[in-house]
Amino acid sequence: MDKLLTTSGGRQQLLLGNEAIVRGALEAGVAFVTCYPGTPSSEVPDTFYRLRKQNPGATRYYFEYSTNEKVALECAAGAAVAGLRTMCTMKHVGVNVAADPLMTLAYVGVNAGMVILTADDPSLFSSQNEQDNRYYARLSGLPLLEPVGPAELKEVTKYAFSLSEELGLPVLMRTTTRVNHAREPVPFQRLPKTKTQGKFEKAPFQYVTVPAVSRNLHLKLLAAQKQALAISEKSDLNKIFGSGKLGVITSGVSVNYVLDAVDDLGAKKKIKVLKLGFSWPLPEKKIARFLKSVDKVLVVEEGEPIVEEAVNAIANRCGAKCDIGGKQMWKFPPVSVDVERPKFLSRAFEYNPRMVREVMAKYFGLKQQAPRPVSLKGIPDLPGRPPNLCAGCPHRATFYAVKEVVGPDAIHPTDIGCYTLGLLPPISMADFLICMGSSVSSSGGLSFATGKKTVSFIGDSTFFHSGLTGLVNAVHNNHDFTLVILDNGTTAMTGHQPNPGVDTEALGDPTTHIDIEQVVRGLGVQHVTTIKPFKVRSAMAAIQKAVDFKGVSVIISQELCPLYARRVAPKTKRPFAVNPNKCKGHLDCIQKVACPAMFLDDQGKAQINPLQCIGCALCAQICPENAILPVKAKA
Amino acid sequence: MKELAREPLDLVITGVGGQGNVLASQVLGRALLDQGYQVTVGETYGLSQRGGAVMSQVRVTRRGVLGPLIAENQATAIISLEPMEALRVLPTYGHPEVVVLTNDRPLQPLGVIAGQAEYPQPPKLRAAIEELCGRLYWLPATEEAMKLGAPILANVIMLGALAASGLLPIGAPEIEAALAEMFPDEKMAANRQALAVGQELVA
Repeated sequence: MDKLLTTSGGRQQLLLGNEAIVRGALEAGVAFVTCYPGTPSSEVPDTFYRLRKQNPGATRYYFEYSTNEKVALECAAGAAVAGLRTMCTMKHVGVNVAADPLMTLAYVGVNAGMVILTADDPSLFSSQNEQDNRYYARLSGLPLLEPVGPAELKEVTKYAFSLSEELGLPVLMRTTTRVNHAREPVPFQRLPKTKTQGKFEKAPFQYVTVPAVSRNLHLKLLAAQKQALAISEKSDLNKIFGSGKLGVITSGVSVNYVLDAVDDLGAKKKIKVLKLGFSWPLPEKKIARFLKSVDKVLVVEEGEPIVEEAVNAIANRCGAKCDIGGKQMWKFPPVSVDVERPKFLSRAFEYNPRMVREVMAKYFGLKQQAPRPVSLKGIPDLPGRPPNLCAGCPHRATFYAVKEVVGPDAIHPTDIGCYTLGLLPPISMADFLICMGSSVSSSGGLSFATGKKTVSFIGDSTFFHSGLTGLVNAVHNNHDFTLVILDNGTTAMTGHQPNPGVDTEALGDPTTHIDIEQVVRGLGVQHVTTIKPFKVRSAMAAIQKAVDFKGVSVIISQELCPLYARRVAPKTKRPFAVNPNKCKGHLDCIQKVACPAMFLDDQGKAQINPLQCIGCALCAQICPENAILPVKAKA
Repeated sequence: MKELAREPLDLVITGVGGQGNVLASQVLGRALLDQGYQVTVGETYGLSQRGGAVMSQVRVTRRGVLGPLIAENQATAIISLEPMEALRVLPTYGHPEVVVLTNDRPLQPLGVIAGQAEYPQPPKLRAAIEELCGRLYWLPATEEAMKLGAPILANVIMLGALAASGLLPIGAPEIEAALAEMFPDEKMAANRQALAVGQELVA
């Protein structure tokens, strides 16, 4: 039995933050879980999925990977209004997709605990922006909890369900990458019995949000916010540590850095820290008392100065005279492609312990032991290590074939998935991306405005997530472009979750497989071809026909992700090697496809690393000398 | 519970996606927790499964709970599964006394493969690391792992080396016990061998 399903309490387990969320939900008796995966939230749904699949007898909750976040939230809303404890998880930008149901679900409310996880990504480790989703609590009027580490994550998740029931509202729980991806000992409590049978009492004048109903529902939400404020004022999640006439107000992962700094500075009797774990509605009276008890206060929060501005307003209202420090609003860290560590309390990028300590020492006039840095003299320039498409990735073959057909001038709107890495040279086939699904819809605008050949890329999961409506729009309005659906049979980027197009038989899941080609034809696309990208010549011929077609054409490039195939359908192909007698050093293999299995030897000739090559044969097909051949099987 | 070589003991474990350094940090965390230490592990990955750099940080204390990040220039040791990655994190986390244990096998990034950037010559790389740290263990972990039949074992070999370096308050048997909690029995023979090889490399 998996440790996460231990029914008794007791022993501490070293858990990832995201696993702690799952355990917290299990300890709350969660019955219905929906999600769309996305870093840094993915291990939450993946753990629910794995536990359910491996222990069908010991898990009673329903779980699904939904097609997108809006769908996930609406599906969960149905279960919650019928009285089941539900959880709905997504990354920060997913909340944008779910924002429509979120705003009005806040009006309608829930009849059993509902917890919505928003996993934010300061510093953009794997996201298209670093928006601060604490604003969503203000926008929707829903309460917001911000746990700081795995042990607290488990407790807070569990508490969030009962808070949700007390208020009759969904509860937002916001994490950041450092919280989701930290590991810490987590003590367990008992698992309760799970209630999986709900009941829906018809009450259209509460649940059907026509204007006459919603006017009242808005007032109901405002009253619930008032109730939430009273709870926040008394909540132990808004807690004071230490004592002294200097103060820090902080929330989220920064709490860790502040407490580490107080320790490092030996200032437990000088600095007191107000940690805001129940951070919306803000406990205004508690903050006012805190402000009146200190001479100086520093607000430490990643992202936007949301708490800071509120603290300033509260100080004004309550007449607190303390000095209030915080972000440098209009000073920015340097521009960098790498994860940049800001040296001051900035609005951009995640914070770090040393910076927080230095800022605190300076603001409070405390002495600190200066760290001894390393001299950078004599360090050679290090080549960067950007992520890359894997050896044998079928996307590389599709990109190659499309570029051979349309040349470098075509415009390539792209989308969110591994294939976004087609951005990097030598592939360089990603020209525009704003969000999931934007490849399809933006193609119409780009091709109309430029008159240029437009070939866009979208993955299978992203296509189901938000490509469908864009494609209908394109067909309906007679757009002119080719959409390439990169169907690698899984949601590769976020860890191989199933999606509606996945052959679920291999996974043994009871879900239904939806054929992408049939869907595309059903949406009215007149020119649809499915290709096998590793058959380079025939793939190119099909692509040529598709781009010659006037109107919307779709290519479905079908080949399993090799990492996924290794798990579900392992078969070994022989690796390839370069025959040095035949190789004339054109280096097409390296310059056009840059597979990580290839490298240049001391003589500047191409070589293949047999440990990495999986035998996809792409390079063998493009070598002008036919110098790349399978390694002979050992006798 | 033994005293720590430093309080807190801050270990940076780095390498390239797919080398198993996140797993190494989990094993280490579990072994230390089993012996009663308070452990916080911070993991940095994202797109890194696709060949990018991956770092995890293991923080160990006998006192309260620590945050998930090590302060800059304050790591006790840097354990790297790839030599250039050791040098990459040194300016950020190193200081004149930091101990570095690194696998000596280079993994070329994309730019180098495509001939657009140069990988530093290994002797130069080694000299640069040596210059910047207090003590360097330059270890043929991948080479030894290939002798055992699986290059992926380099991470367990590095854990064996770490256990023998005297930096930890625990030894190889405790790491082995943690491995046994996480791996099926049939994988344990290779893991035991790898731990032993790692210890010999440092002894």
